[in-house]
Parts: sequence; C-alpha cells; structure tokens
Amino acid sequence: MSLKITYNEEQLIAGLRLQKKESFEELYDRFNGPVYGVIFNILKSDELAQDVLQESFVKIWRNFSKYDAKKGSLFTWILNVARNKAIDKYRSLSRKPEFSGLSSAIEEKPSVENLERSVENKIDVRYGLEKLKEEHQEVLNVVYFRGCSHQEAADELNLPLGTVKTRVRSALIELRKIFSEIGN
Amino acid sequence: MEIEAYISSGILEGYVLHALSSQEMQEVECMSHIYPEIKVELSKIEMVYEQLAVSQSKLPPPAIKDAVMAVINSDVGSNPDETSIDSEAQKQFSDSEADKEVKAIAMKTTWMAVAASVLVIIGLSLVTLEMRSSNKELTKGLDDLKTTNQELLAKVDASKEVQENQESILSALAQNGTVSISLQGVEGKPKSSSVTVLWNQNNEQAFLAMGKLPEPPSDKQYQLWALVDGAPVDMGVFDIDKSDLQKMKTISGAQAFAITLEQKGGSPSPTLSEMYVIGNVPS
Repeated sequence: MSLKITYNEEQLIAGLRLQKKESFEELYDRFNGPVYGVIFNILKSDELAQDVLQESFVKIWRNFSKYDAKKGSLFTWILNVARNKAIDKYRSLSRKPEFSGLSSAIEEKPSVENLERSVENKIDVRYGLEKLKEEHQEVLNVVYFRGCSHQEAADELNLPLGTVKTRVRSALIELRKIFSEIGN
Repeated sequence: MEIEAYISSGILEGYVLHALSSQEMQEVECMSHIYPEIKVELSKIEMVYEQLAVSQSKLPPPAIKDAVMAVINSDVGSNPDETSIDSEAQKQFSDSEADKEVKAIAMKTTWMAVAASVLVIIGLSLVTLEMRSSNKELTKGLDDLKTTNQELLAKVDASKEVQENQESILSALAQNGTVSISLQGVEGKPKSSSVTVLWNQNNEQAFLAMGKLPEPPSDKQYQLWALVDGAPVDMGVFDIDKSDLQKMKTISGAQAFAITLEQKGGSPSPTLSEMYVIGNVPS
C-alpha cells in the first residue's frame, strides 16, 4: 500500500489554521483509523482508547497553531499528539493499581505480540511488526508502545545507549522493506 | 562522511519517535537546517512511522466522531454571528487566534518602526549638535567604532571556528565505534595530570581533549603516541591551552595511548623518562 497523498495537504493545513470545522472533519475522517489503532495498541482497552482518541482530536483542533510544517509532516504530528496522550494515560494508570475494573486492561502490557488484528483492516501490513527480529521488536515495544526515551530504554533493557539507538533505526529500516514488499 | 555517521547513529529515528531529550531535539532541528540530507532522511523515517500507524488501523465507533464534532461546534459556535459570514469575509474579519496574533505582531512592528524612526531623528539632531561643538571628539569616536567593529569581526570569525569545531566534535562523538580512553598521570609525574583521547576504531580518527597537564617550558611541546604491538607510533604534537577537541593523526590497532614531553615540534621516538600520562584502550 502506499501513502500517496491524493488530497491537498496544504489546503487542509490552511483550513485548520483558520479553525474551519470542515477542514477538521476532513482530518478526522482521514486519520481516525490509524490514530485509534495506535492508541488502542498502547492502552489495550476500547473504553480507554476512545476517551484518549476524543481528547487527542480536541487537542489537535485547539492546539493547531503549535503545528510547525517545517518540523515535520501533519500525519506524524497528529500521531505524536495521540501517542503521547495514550502513553501518559498508560503511565498514570499503571501507577494506580487500585483502579479497579480497568486493572485487567493495563496489566496486559502493550507489545508486538499483543497486537490486535483488526478485521476491518483491508491492508495486510498488520504482520509487519511480527516479521521483525526479536531484538527489534524488543526495542520498539519499549520506545514506540511505551514511549520510553533512548536512555530509559537502555536502562530498562540493560543495553548500551548506542545499541538502543541503532537497533531502533534498524527496526524501522526493516519495516520499510517489509511494507514495500507488501505493496508489490 | 560526517553526516552519514550522524544519520547512522539513529538519532533521527529518536526525533520522529519522540525518544530524545529536548536538548537533543534542538540539536536535530539545528542540524536539519544546516544539512539537507537530514531533512530527506527525516521524511523517510516519517513515512515508515506513518505506515506503521496505518498498519494498526482500527475503526472507532461513529459516536466518537459525534462527540468530537460537538466540541468543535461549540468552540466555533461560541460566536454565533461568525457562522453566517462567508469564508472570504471570514478571512478578512476572522477572529481566529492566528489572525489575532498576526495583527498584534503587525501592530507591534509598526509601533517599533515608528519608535525607531523617532529615535533616529533624535539621534541625528544630537549628532548634529555634537558635530557643531566638537568635531575632534567625533573623529575619535569614529576611530573607536572602527576598532570595536574590527574586534567584533574577529570575534565572529573566532566563533565561526568554534562552531565548525563543535560540529566536528558532534559528529566525532556520534560515530559508532568511538571509544574514550582516559590517560592518567604516571609514577613520578603530577597525579592530577589527565587527558582524554577519543578514538574511532572504524574510521581511525583520533581526537584529543585536554584535561590537565603541567605548563611546558617554552622550548618543549607535548606529543601524543599510540602503542601498536608494543611499539610507539607518533600521533602528533599539541598545545595545552586549547579547550576544544584537537584532531590528531589517524591510527589503527592502538592498544594504548601515552603523552611525552619533547622538544618543540616533536621527536621521532618518545623520551620515556618524560612520559606524563598513559591509558589503555578498553578491550
């Protein structure tokens, strides 16, 4: 599959800067699937993920002036707003074990093995992460799903800092190959 | 190439994944302005990051969209008159934050420009008065300004050099395969002596970071040696008053590094009694 942009991203961004709700609706329609998927794989709970999805999109709407097109793409920016919110939620909940009813949700740590296969997903790249080597999955679990910094990951996995950095890079390079193979 | 090493270190992936400290993030942003290759690499990483998200796609219940749009509508609808204005007019009379900010900045700029021109006028009239009263003082003032200007230019050149040096330090440190060797004082020489060598075993580059060494006599100079298979190899002479990393000669297969005090310009073989510090390469 390819992420070839068929819509006019510049127009969308301009509309969002002007706080046009039609632009925002377009943004939601286009990106709610991947954003929800990422949040869900971090929190492993529909209830929690839906709250965070809602909060994330409202935050994107209200803080859009903070988006700097020179620093990166729109999609990456909104993914990071959502991922950060989900990770914050995960961290705040995992500090409160008395949060009954939801404790079962947070006990199951987000990881590549626990990824839910979505039946709505027509794009067969959901196995991309599972095709990675053990050591690549390990660093992505910690850095991508749990939002650890390089240093935190190094401490947690007992690896040199340089190794964590290069392994994350290798993992993403591998994923790039896997995704391009699937596209053919 | 230094940039390839910076890219290979994985720091750019860290930037996209938000796994960096805020200082590291600023460093990446800075580097991406200087080197276009970094911008290119960042887009490649963003693409796979986005594909990864798409691969996890999951449709949320439609009720969520309703809830989100309700908040948006209430934000937009807080000024009911606005919704009836057409988009063209909206652009002109828009109350959106972005426009407010732009207007505020425009106003500030206008006032600043006015204030600046007033100051210039006042300044000019003062200068004119001064000119009439003491021409000699003015000439002296001008000369002082010229000297200051030259000093400033020299400072700019110096700081450019520092910046270039910093960039090479950055890439030296970022490269894979760089080890840090701490050289400590030997028996009979000041214990406080210490120097660090940064040696990249892949590209054989070596840098010296001054720690502390006694001030040498004016006819002598410190020389760095690498020990390869037990034999000393000249790595070059250096001065102790440099605070930045100094690039030394390249070397492969070094087991240890040492510094001796030699005649100015160095010596083909080390004077062992004048060895000040030594350190082994960690294996």
